[in-house]
Amino acid sequence: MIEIKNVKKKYGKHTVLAGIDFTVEPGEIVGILGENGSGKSTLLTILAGLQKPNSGFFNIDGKDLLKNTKLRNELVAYVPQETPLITELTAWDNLRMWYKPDKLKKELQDGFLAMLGIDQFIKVPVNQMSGGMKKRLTIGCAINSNPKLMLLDEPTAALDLVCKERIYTYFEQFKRQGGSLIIATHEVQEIELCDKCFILKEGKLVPYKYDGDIPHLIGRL
Amino acid sequence: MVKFKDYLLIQYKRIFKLLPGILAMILVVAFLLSVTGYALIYSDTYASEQQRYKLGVVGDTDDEMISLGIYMVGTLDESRYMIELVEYDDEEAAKQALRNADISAYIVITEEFSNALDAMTNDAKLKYYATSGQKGISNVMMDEISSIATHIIIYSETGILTLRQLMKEEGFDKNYRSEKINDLFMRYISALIVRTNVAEITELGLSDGLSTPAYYFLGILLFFMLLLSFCAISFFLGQKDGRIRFMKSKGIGAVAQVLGEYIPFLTINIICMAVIFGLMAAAIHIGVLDSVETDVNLMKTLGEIAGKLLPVSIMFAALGFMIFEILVGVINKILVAFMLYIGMGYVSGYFYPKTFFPAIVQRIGEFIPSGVAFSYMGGVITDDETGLYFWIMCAYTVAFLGIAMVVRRQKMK
Repeated sequence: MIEIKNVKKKYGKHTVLAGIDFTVEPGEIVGILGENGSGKSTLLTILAGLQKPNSGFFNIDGKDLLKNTKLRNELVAYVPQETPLITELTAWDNLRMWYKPDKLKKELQDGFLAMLGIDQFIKVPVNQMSGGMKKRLTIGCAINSNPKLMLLDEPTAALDLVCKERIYTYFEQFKRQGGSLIIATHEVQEIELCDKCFILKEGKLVPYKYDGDIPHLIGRL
Repeated sequence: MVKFKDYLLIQYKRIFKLLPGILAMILVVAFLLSVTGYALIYSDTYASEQQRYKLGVVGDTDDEMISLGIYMVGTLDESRYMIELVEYDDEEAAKQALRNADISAYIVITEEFSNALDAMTNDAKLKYYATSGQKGISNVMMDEISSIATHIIIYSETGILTLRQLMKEEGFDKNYRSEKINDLFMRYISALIVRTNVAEITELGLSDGLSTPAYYFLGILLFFMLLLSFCAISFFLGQKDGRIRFMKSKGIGAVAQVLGEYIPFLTINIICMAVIFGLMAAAIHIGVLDSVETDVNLMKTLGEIAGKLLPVSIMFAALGFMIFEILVGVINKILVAFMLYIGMGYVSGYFYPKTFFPAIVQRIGEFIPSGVAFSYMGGVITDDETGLYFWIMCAYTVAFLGIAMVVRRQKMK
């Protein structure tokens, strides 16, 4: 089980996270909703180890990942909003940094990378790829260590429906294999995928059950 | 778990993809700088140091005394004064020549001057004209030169006329008088004013014991090395904060990221230097760069300093890396770095001898990275001690990379 307890973050006098508490079960997708600037990305970057919280705990199966950097790098995959890919190189070159050749070939044949459809553009340079290709490749790079948790910052923003569907299919597969996802999102389709949602407002998480009523959701934000 | 080695290799792969474009760019920059350097070393500054100053003389050249005076100054004391006399019958022509910078100054030998000589009076005055734009060393020299020339003409010719008058009064034949007096005074002037071999003049160069060509060669070379960082600027253009954060989330921290990118960046800088040195060696081999006489043996100099340039290249690459890491946007990166490099190069005397700057500016110029590199390479060329400068460059390199790491860490948040 994944536990996030009392995570606090301040920038100077400005409190961004005023004590975040929630748990994520294996095979569960958790959605974090909130206005722009509400602190969703900050929360994800803290969990990804990019910045330190002022206080709090982040445990997976009882192991403190805020202190154990090496373990966190293995168990947690982070997919940022911007593309992290090396644009001059091909999909193969980008993946090759994270995968050993044998494993990469296998994954491209019948693994997660094949499911993401990366094998179809493996020789294409990143600077010639569509947004959807880049996002799928980014996810492919992120999951090299067989993580237990994926942190996704608006993963399908500005992607077409076909591409979104492909990525959602992968999320379902990841979930079925016991992986957990925390998604910061504004997309209704992603919210519908989530097993539970929270609205991040004024530094606090408030549980929210989405029932298809968008005006109500907007009112809560 | 990705290791530093994997990150380094992927960055090498990345930068080598950019290499053809980088080399094309470097050839253009090299060509432009070569033209500039060639012009600097051979055309104006160096050539002007080698040439005699041209002094215009305006007056009636049919006048026997004036012709004799010009002859004396022009032949007997020529090498000492380093002047070349150019005769003009018309002052307007001399004035135009001065405006065109064909001559450095001119002297008008007035009719009053000739009359005063004939009358053996002591109120002979020449008129001396020079441009007022630059009150630099050439003007000071011209004042001195014209002063000496004036004294030679006045005193020697006054002596000639006095003796001629005395001989005339004693009843000597006119032709005999002229022949003897001229002969006597040529001997007198020769004995009195020829000082060519009195002193042995050795050129110490512009600064740091470097000769003029070596000084400018080094200045241009170091400035070119500073500019080399631009050639690999495309390495920094695709750099997005998303990538930095992603790498960090994968265990590649700021130190590993900066070193993993700096080392390929440095490698490209060194490769570009090697290409440039290769081109220069080829140019020397086929004789292009030896067409003008110079006291710099370029091939020998290249061979001697190529290996010693490595610490400079390491420091300049670190400086470029830091600047590109701090600044955001390609226009900002290029503009700020270029302005900074120009300023650093100027203050450190890359384009103009630093001895002409005020003492405080010279001091600053010596201790900024460009100045330390110049002192170090100057020491290499003159076989002087370079240890201190080497360690200062090491300290600068560590500082630049340290700052780049701090900035990178900030970007991760």
